[in-house]
Formats: sequence, C-alpha cells, structure tokens
Amino acid sequence: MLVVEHDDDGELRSQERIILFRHPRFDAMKRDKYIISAIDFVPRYYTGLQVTRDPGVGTVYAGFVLLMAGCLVALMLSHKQLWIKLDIRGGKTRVQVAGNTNKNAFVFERHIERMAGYLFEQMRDMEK
Amino acid sequence: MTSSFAASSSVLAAVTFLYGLAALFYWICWIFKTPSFGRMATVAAIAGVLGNWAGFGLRWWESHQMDIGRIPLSNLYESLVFFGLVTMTVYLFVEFQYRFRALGAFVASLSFLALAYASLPGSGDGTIRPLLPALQSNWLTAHVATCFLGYAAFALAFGLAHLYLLKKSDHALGTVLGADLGAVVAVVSGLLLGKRISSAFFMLLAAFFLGLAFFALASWLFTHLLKPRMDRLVNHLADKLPDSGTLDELMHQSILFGFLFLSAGIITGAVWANSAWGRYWSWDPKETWSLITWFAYAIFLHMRLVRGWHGAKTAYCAVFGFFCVLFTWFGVNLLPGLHSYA
Repeated sequence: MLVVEHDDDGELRSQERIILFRHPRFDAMKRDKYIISAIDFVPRYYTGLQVTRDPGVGTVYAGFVLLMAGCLVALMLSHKQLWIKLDIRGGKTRVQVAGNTNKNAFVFERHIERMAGYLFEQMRDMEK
Repeated sequence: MTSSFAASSSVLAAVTFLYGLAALFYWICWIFKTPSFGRMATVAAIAGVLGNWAGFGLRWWESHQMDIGRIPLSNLYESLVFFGLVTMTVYLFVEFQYRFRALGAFVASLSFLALAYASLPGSGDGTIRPLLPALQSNWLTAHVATCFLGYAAFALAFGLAHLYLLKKSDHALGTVLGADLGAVVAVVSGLLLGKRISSAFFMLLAAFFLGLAFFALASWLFTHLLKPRMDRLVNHLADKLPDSGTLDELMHQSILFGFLFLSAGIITGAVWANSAWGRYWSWDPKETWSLITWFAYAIFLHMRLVRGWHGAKTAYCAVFGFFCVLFTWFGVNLLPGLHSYA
C-alpha cells in the first residue's frame, strides 16, 4: 500500500509499504514510530465481459453458402457437346462420334469412347 | 473410472485386431492371388466395421452413463477411432461397387494403424472426459463428422494413387514410394527427436529435412536401381486391377468428395468457432493447415478441370495432399493452438 505522511519538517512524503494481511506485526520490522497493519478487508468482485457486435457475420455466412454452391457448380457440372455424324455413301453408313467439353476432358474422352464402343456393338448386332 | 469405459475400449481393441487381420488378408490375397483370402479379408473388414460402429455407439452411451453425455468426437483417441470407422465404411462401399480388393490392402492398413495408435498411451488413453463448456455444441458433430469424411476420402485417394501408378507401371511410382518412406522417416524422427529437442519448431524443421533427405535418396534408389528389377513384381501386382482410366477417375472422384467435405468441415468449424469464441477464424495452426490442405486440393482440382491434369500428376497430388492432411491432423498438435484436443 502507499503510505503518505508528514515529515518532521512538515512536508508530504510518500512511500510504498508492503503489509501482509496474515502477519499484522510485519510492519514492525520497519522500526518506525507506528505500525501499520490490515485488520479486515472487503473484497470487491468484478467480472470482465466482452461484448462484440459483428455486422459482417451475415455476409460471411452468405459467402460460405455461395462458396459451397460454387464448388458444387464448378466441380460437378460442365458444359458438354456431343455430335453423332452419319455419312451415307453408296449404301454404306459411316458413323462418327465426337464431343467437346469445357472441363475434365480426360474423363469425357473415356465416356465418349465407351459410348462409341456401345454404339458399334449395337450396330454389329443389328447387321446380324 | 477405469471400469466404466472398459467395455468400449475392449470392443475397440478387438476392432484393431480385426482391421489388422483384414489388412494382412488383403495383402496376401493381392500378392499371392488367392481369392479365398480376399473373401476372408472382406469378412474381417465387415466385422471390424460393425464392431467399430458398436464401439463408437457404446462409448457414446457410456459417456451418458457417466453424466457427461457427449458424442465421442472430441479428442485424438476418438478422432482416430472415428477415422477408422469412416474410412473402412466408405472403402467397403467402393469394394462392392467396383469389385476389386487391392485398395483394401492400403486402406485396412491405414485404419489398423489409426486404431493401434489410438490404443497407445500418447493419444489420450481412451478416458472419457467432459467437454470444455465452450465446445459444447451440435456444431461439434457437424464439424468433426464432415472433416473426417473428407480425410477418409483423401485416404482412399492416397491408396488409389499407388494402385494407379502400379497399373501404369509409371516412372512416378518410385518417387511416390520414396515420398512414403520419407514421410515415415519424418514421423519416426519427429517422435524420437521430440524427447530431445524442447522447441517444437526446430523439432518439426529437423524432422522435415530428414524426411526430405530420405525422400530424395529413396526415390532415386527406387527409380534407378530397383525399378528395372521390380518390373515383374509390378506387373504381377497390377494384373487384376481395374484399368488405369477407371482408377484415375475413381481417384478424382475421391478427391472431389473429400474436397467438398473438407470445405464443409472448415465452414462448420468457422460457424462453431464464431458461436464459441466470437470469431470465425483465428489463424490457429490447425485452421491455417486445413486451409493449406484445402488450397492443395483446390489447385489440383482446378488444374484437372481446366488444364486436363490426370494420371501421374493426379497421383502426386493425392499423395502430397494426404501428407498435408496428416500434418493437419497430427503434426499441428505439436504447435500451440486452440485445437490442442483438450
């Protein structure tokens, strides 16, 4: 605690003094004119509360929804075009299968190959 | 305390054994081409998954008996158990859909390792402890479940990457095997160094460079010395696998599935953080690393769709991404942060 006292000359003087609640005679070690001791104390409790207001959270959550929707659209959907071209020449038909996609061309290529193979099998069965 | 969670722990010990058995049988079936072992492996895997679900449910019930009452998804032990559960469940769907078992050798081994690690004392010893009040929320279930569905899909993609490179007898196989070995060296040296070096940062740095050195050495060895001699073995292993196009597509689908769930996991985590701490993103190491993992897979998916990356490049990404996942899951726990698993 901070003790302020008058000097012998009448001037104000302050000093830091340590007072131990459980040892009332602790201050006696200073060998001053008087002993300061704490007899009782009333604790004052306090709670620190933090209040936040974050008006941007709604925007961020909307962003989350958009992000998920965007991922689904960008990763799962693609624009695909498919052509099947028939050339009829002299009683024979040439069948061409072609495709175009803006995304994941490698997998689409495999799909087209499979589709063409299936078509070829069907036509062979029809010839029989 | 000890007796009250004994039931689920012993069920999960049996599950560990079953997964180990399944892994062994899957390897035998694959290497020695014995379909009977394959059927036994599938039976062991199904029994293991059922036991895993039972152990998970039992632990949940036990937590209610102890008046704690929370879904078992909140510490390293429970995350390992849940990883085994989700990974093996998803894997069995793939096995029944695509009718091949070689992937099981990788996936059952990973699940076995996860459950075996869970039973080690370092992973939270299986004691059910109450949840911090800040963490009690239904978002917990959504967050952890989506994240681990993602991790499970990435684990499948990791296994598929190896199968793809085997099937193609690709040059990249040596590099990937070298990377596996490097990762194992990094983990082991990290565990050994952890006891000697007090600074987590320097420990991670040392483990990283040791792993990198071994990766360089081993991938060089595999590609230049062993690969020419292993061609017969590679052809033998690749024999009954689905064709490389199917494996590539499956790998892509796994990564896509994992990526969507990882995104959902990060988002639900952010919503949960906002309700628990009042901030949806605090740059805690786990958040940062999950973002790094997310970017790694996002860049790969983008490159595939736009630049047509496939094959060996996809395999590299699946392996690299899975290492990011492992670091997000385990490595980050060594750094101080909010996710330090109670």
